[in-house]
Amino acid sequence: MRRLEPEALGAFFDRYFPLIHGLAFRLLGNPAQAEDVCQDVFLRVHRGLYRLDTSRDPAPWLATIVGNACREFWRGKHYRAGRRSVPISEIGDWQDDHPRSADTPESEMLRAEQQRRVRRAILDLPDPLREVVVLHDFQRLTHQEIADAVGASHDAIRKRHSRALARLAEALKERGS
Amino acid sequence: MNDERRIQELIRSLPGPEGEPAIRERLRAEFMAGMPGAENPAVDAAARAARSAGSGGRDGVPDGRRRVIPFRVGLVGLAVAASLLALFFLWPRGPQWTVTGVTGEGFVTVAGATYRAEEAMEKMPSRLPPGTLVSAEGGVMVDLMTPDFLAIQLAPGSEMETPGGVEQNDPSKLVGRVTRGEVRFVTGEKFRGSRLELETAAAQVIVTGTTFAVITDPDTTCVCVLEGTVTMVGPGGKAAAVEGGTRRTLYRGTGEAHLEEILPMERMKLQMLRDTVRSRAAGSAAGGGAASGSAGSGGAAGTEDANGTGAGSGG
Repeated sequence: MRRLEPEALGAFFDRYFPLIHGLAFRLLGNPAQAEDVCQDVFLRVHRGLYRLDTSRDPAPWLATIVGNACREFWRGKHYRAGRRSVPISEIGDWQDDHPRSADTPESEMLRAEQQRRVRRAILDLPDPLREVVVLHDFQRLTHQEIADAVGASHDAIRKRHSRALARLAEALKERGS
Repeated sequence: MNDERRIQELIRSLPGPEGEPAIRERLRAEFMAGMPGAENPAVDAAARAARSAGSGGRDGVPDGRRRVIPFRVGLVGLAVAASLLALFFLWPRGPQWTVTGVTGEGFVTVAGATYRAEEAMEKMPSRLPPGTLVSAEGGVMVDLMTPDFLAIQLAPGSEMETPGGVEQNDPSKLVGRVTRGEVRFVTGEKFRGSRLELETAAAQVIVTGTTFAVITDPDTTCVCVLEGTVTMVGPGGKAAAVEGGTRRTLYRGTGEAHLEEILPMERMKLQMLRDTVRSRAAGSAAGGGAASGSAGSGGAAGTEDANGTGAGSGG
């Protein structure tokens, strides 16, 4: 990998693209933006590969890069302005709800609707809270790992996480989930 | 089970998105080949630093790369080939659009009729008259074209009316509408001398030959140009040129506009579309035209310490 041999790079890409893309999408909520951030992330990964410790799981490192890339994206002017106009229908349109053949159409519809509400509630969180939820609950990073990644204290991250979960619970109660 | 635990379980039960296969493949190929953005670290660093700092003034263009964009109204230039185009435009209401591909999972809606992606090519009309409302839902992408003239690609979640000629005294002018999402365009050999006007909620986009994308929602319109120049007309008729390698976003409410470099992923998608159109034109016995324009210029992704650790926003 560190010698950047194409086959190894390809295997690395195949293994970690779902993690990187999934994380970017969950943080940004927009497929096109997520793809853009993915390209940025893979560029950074490529540049940092020579320092990669191949004996350790690179997932936390990759999650950190994705978080950094998304934070830069959030700081961008056009993102802040455009955030006001993200329609809720965008969340429901993303086709990641794979129907399970054993389910009835009604239960499938209910599940899809619940997933849509949860995604919407996550996206409605302020960026710093959303980031902690996504990194902790999707990516399974510890509070300490997240703290190291964002430059905050462990205590601050733990509190942010609690606040985020409380807000999500409140939002989902209001929406009937 | 307390609230926190319940919420965490709900979050973890969400399935993950898969990403557009063509984009994933292209990104994979770039990663294996060394990522094109690694070639210009100084340029990338400047672009990245400027984007992070939000610098560049009103237009958002980094100081070191600020461009003076002359404001001019798009002009219709009728070339010698206009006589052939005039014949072309004697078709009732303008060109017919051929559906050349439906990829991904989801639905395609054409003139009010909805088709599942996997059966769309078989069941939907293969030729669409101008003014047809087409939408790509879920993860579907739809490709349309009039050979050698104009290729259109609707990205997932987008909707548009296919362009058509509306003025008898100006048969080279086509008018279309992009109502939502991202739609990409590549003009061909026979487009020369024509003019395409696209209406969106926030702006009017005027094209005389280029490769570009229009991304729109009820409050904003963004035009991303790979090559060539597109004119964007905002509220009050104020026009601005969007040159190759840049993107311009217009906000409907305030009339404010931001100009910046085209984003790497937008560049990639437009290049893919242009390359596909060119190879199809080169390989087709009946077509034979190539998309116009040369490769776009402009910076690629920014550079940074790719270790990815360290400061972000604090506590």
